[in-house]
Amino acid sequence: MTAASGTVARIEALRSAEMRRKRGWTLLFGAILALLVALSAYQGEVSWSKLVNGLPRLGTYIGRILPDLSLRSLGPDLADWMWNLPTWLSLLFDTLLIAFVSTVMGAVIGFFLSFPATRNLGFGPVTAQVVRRFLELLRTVPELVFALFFVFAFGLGPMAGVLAITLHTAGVLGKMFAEINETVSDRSLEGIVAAGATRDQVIRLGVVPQVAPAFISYVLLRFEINVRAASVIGFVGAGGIGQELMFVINQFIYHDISAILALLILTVALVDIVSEAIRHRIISSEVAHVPAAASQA
Amino acid sequence: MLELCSLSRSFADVRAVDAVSLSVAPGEFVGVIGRSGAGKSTLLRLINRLVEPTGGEIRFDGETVSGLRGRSLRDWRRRSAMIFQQFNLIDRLSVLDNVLVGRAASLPRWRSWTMAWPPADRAVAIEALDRLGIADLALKRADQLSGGQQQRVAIARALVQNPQLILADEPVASLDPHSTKLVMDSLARINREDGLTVLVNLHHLELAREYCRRVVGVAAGRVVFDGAIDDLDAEAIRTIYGAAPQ
Amino acid sequence: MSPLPQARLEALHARYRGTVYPLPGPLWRGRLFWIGFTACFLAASAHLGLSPLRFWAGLGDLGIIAGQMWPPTHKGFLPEYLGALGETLAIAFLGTLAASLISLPLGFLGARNVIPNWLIHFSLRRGLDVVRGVDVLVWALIFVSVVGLGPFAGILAIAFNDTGVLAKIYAEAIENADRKASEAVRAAGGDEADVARLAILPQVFPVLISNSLYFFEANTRSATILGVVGAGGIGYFLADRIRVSAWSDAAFIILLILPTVAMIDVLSRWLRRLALGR
Repeated sequence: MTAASGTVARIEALRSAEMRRKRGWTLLFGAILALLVALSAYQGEVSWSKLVNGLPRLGTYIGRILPDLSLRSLGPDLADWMWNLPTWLSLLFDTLLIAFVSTVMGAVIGFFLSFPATRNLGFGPVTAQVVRRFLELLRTVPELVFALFFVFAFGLGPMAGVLAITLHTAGVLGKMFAEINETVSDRSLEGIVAAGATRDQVIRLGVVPQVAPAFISYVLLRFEINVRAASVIGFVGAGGIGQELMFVINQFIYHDISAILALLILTVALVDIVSEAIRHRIISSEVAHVPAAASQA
Repeated sequence: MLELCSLSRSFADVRAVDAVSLSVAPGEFVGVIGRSGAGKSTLLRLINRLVEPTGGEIRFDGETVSGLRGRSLRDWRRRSAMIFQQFNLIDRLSVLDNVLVGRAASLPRWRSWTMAWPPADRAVAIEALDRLGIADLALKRADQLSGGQQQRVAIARALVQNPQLILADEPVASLDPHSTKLVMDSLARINREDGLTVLVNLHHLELAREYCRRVVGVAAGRVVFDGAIDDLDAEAIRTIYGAAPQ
Repeated sequence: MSPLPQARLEALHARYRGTVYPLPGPLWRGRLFWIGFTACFLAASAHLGLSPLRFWAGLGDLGIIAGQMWPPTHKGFLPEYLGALGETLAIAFLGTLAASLISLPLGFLGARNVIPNWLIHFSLRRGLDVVRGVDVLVWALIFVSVVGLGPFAGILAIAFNDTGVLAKIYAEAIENADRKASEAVRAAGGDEADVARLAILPQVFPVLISNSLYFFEANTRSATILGVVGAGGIGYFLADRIRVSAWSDAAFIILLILPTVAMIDVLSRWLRRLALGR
């Protein structure tokens, strides 16, 4: 028995102790996970037979909704598939408008609520807490739930959808804006206060110019998300393509399902591309404005 | 005439400014000197009311300004223009807009909200920039300027406030020697030509010797010297700066 | 400050263009943008039939609803509600788990540094884009008509929808993984499978866990409304009570949902910190 082999033995012992400890944790986590899966499967009514029976049906379903297109008669086939194109396009247009109007209104509400929700603008901690809780409530309630209420109060149609998405958007953007506001340097604001400005002037001249690019970028991102939201708000009768989509799915009008989905996916992709291009332009113009004198100052 | 009567400010149990009494005649150029942390900065902030006093009084031309609230407080801030060590400009606004911030308090509120400043005020702003030799930079973004240029923008902002008093808190502490000279010369010229009272915090004794006829020495929140720069002897310097003179 | 004489204004204007009087170009560009934007907004609102009149009328109804929401009641349905809430959590959990498990191999397939064949990851990523382009509620509706009403449709919808997003995030995380470790494994004689298991997986594992938890959080929120289209969970009761104008019952359900979502947020944030910390 040499000293070297003693060291090796010691290291090996430490290593296997460490492995045992690690394995213990892994086993514990694994057991918890397995328990959760079992519990959820029971609660979620998942069973092996459902899985085995259900998944092949998905294949059949996809096969059914796909349009009959052949290269030989592509024109007529496409026309056949998109037989209701004018109606669908008009509904998609409505969907985009719902997203647009509600994003604008939500952004405006969120903008004005973000300042009292900002802790360092002198509105007081109580106001900040109250406004923050209110924004959180708007954020946590899903658009669709708002829409269910609004359809009752404002009647069927886009107005309910617009108001529902507006409220949710105001909650999300208000919170984000408030967080961005808190990154503004107090020093530059002090310069404005010292010149005798009122609080709203400090916000307009000091905070807004510094947060504007981030705000715009978040609003565009929210617009992309709201287009998706506006496409399903019709499920509860609140306008847009959703109602028609629900109708064709529930009535098993197979080819219309794929036609509307294709148009919807195309629209969403287009919106994403345009919005992303604008956001990139904003970001790159910011990068180009890196202070020239930063190192000298 | 600016008068401070046993003005005090404590932070927790630290007396940053401790019973300071001082009077400054119109048109004076007063240097406030002392070690960093002596309370010079708090003293100037107290005068502009960025910091609330915990005791004492501030009077200007017989009016007590230490109790002002709301509109009259904002008007006092406009009349006692501040210049800061870090310039405190809005990086993303143009130089011209930064100067016009100094006009905001004198204009109707919708002017600030739309930033549609009247040509008369824009002319005043560009004139101020012209006096400080940086009118060519008026349409550049503030963060593209060098430190010395930014500080001159801040001086222009102070000028268009139409103040009666200029409070400069370490205006050259972040600047190189060349910019330091430009900025200090500008302050001296404004004092000479416009007859504006200037109170300037300075860390370095040499600058005080060069520009100020009267200096106020501050140590541990108290005024320990107040007199002509020529009377500032080695003994006085030791009282202001402690054992090791700078 | 006495105003400057007009002559001085003109002189300054001549010397420093665009300062005394704003340059007409940028000025009008700004004005036209805002005028155009406002016009678009008003036209869109009009097209959608939004009007202040309708708004005020509806606000009155909303006030009545709010009045009838208090006090929230469950009328003996509490066990059903709690069961549905559990179902909601189960949908979110199993959906996220399934999505994570499916996304992992897809993420490797979509990562350029693992599969250098551009055709594979290009088509894979476009496919994922398609899945992502549609709201989870649409998938839920489709799965309801494939496998029938109930939480199973909800689980499949969430699993399907999230696979689209998670696989992309995983692929990007894998692409950003440090290359040195991969080279070391290759230098030691490992094949591609060894590289994936020994070099890439340990680096991206915390990212994967953290993202999955984040999605669990988001999915709990979406799972609360899946019931609106019949895909299981508490949303079914909520939609039903609102449809029959049982406002105090609806209020009760909402008051059950909000703290549950908040609790899951806190739990997930804690687990995320744990996963990223080690």
